[in-house]
Amino acid sequence: MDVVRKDYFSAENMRRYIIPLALIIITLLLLNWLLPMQLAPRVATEESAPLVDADAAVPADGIGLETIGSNFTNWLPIKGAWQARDGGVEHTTRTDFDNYIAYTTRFEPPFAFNATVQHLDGIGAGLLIGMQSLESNANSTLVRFETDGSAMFWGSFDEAGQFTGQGFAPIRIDTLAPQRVTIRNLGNSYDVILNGETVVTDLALTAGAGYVGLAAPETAVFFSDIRVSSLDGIAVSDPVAVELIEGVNVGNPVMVDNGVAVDDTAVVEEPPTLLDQVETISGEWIYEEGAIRQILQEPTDYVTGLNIFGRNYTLASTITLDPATPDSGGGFIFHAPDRDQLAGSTMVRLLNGGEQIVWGQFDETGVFQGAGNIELDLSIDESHDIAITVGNSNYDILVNGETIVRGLPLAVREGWIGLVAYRGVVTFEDVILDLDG
Amino acid sequence: MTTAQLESAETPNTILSRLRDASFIHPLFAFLITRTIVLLGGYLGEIAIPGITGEGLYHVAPNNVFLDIWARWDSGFYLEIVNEGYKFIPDQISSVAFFPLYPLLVKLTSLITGNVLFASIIVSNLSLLGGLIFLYKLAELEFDADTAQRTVYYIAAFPTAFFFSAVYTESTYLLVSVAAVYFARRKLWAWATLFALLTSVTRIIGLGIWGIVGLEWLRTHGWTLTTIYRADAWRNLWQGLRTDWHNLAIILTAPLGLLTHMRFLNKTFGDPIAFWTIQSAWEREDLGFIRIIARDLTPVFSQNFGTGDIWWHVILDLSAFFFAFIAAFFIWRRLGAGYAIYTLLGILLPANSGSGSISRYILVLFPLFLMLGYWGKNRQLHNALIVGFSCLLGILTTIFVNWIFVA
Repeated sequence: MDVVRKDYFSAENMRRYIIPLALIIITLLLLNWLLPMQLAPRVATEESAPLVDADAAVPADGIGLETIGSNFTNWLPIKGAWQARDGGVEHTTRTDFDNYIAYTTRFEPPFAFNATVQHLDGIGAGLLIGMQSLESNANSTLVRFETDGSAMFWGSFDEAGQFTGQGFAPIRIDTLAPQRVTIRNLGNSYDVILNGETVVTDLALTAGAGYVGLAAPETAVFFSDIRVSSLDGIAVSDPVAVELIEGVNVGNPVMVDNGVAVDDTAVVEEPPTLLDQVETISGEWIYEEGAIRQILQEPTDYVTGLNIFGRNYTLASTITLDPATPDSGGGFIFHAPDRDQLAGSTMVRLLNGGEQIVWGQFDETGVFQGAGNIELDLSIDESHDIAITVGNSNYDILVNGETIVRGLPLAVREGWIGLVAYRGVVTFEDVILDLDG
Repeated sequence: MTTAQLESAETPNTILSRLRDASFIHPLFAFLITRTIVLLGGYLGEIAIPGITGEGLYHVAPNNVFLDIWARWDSGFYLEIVNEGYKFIPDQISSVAFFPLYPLLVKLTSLITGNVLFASIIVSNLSLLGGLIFLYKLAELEFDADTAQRTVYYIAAFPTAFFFSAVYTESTYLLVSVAAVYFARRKLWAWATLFALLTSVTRIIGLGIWGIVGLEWLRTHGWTLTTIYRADAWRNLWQGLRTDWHNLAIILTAPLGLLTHMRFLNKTFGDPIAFWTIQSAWEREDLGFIRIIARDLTPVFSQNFGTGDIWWHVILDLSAFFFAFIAAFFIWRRLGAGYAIYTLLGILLPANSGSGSISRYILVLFPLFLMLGYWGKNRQLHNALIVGFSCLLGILTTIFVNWIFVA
């Protein structure tokens, strides 16, 4: 009797069964192996990967280097035109204000967030820490350059994304040179370091843990050498010339030139007054006995800056016009986008020796566009108390303690503050900035 | 020349000869022509039309338009899965809703390309080409070569076919689902099971392909849904079970792919059906497809077409729904119950909770395109479909790349 032996490994069986069945088994094994290895969540969490040094949850050299260049999706743009460039991150245009990008890993304090910031067009870039979401800047803390490069300021965003400033330090930088900005995140507080010089320490921190990000308001900027690292080797020294007056930082400029502090000796011994900080922008201003006086007679607006960038305050002064110059005037400049430019700022001032008070805004070319005025008929021979109360979106004008206009709209929410005098000897006394409104 | 030499010369089974085969040439041309439309439409649309910007409207590669335009809307989820792994945030829209085959293929390809976005586009387009080849073969099997040729052109030029080239799972799903059915029709059950298994880890509707493969096995053994009442059909089935049980056993392993994914989800997030649980975050109302369609259809008639103040993509989705719904009955008659049920499930399941994106969902319901290919023997209809589809494909591509929701 013939015995028929089945050839299980015939070409037909190989084609129909053995190869596909082997592939099914391989596929299942691969899925079992690859799914947890390749597609399990990799965002560091409090339990899994608290970052205390650069090796814990990020590449050895810190974040944002080779990963950004070839794999930009580790950075998540929230708004703006962001792109990878040379191992860093670049914001390419000056358009729009709220341009942010977040790195998609959560970090636990303590750590230092460092980046070299090189402005390309516009100035105003900065660093964010403690971001609670990859979709918005809510509850994060921001440290950035002021738009004219004359200051650094810091503060936090609330739940709704509204920014509240915590402080400010005047600086001098070469705006096109790379600036190394470091935020030391200690969990409950943070320090700011610029080019190795401590700018401010022990600031209250809204949220320590969270994502880090970059900000580029109306700024084209290149961020390079972006790192989250341990605090080892990143120490703070005494802050440079920063004093707090009721929450607003007012200080002598931190002189910084290409990353090297050249003048950090200007620490003020006595608490400064507002008038200690003035900086003449136009005209000739004389400071004497707690008052400041503009003396040039040309029919134009002369301005001195108070060296303060602010929002939500009451600014008041006793103003004396020039009886010898019937059309002299004086008042305030505020919400100026640039510290030494009138363009974009709002002005409130007495007109024609106190016959009227006028308000409005300087346009982009620096020409004043009046928005309104009121007849006052004040005596030019007397001093008058002029005040403005500036809120989030509007402001009021007070003359001799009486509110004469209420709820005038504001085009912007913050800016530089200064005094303005029109022709003649105009004197400002008791200049007061009250943050309580 | 010997007989053996003659046979060898007449049936050269080389790669070159396969590349010259109609089942490769026609899909390749359909691929090249339609991808040219899509690429030109996408590129010109992105550079010529001022795009909208805003929160969440990301640009993965803003300095490379050729790559950037393929990542819009849900693409972000796939890229997030590849880069950061799955995320499951209960009650919030999370990437766990998406299935793993496409991200895995992208991840593996990115190990070669070094760029995730580029890898995604490579996977999408190669999958499309593969899918078209299998679809051609399937259409040839069901109808003839002419129908097969029309079928691949229709699906590749379909108005929403730009999704095949985008960072979306459509083309991968098309490839594995058509391959599974093709092998089932060839009675190569183990191959069919392999692709059905892959289908089940590509999209949830992939389980429907398992159903088609199963129905095909039943049909092979004389049991169909239309003969369910006949005793001889059951006798045939019993005979089939006795003689061909091993193939049925192989077919039954197809859901192991989905089960593997569910095991992973359970281990990672403690919820084996997290992809289903998270659906509530999309705020879809489970009203049933009749109420949903009625709800979405009613405002269409009160919209002002003159001013253009209309929900055009809703109209697109509803048109797609009705086209698929009506065509399913013709599919039942001409191609069988399995194809028809799969088509109906492909539209009715999503339509139970919303009509949104149906114009994209029907893109992978290949029985529709088999039927269109069959109808396309009418010359006027064929011309209308080719011109109409191609124009709409270009237009919708420009809309898509500009961050305007299409489907």
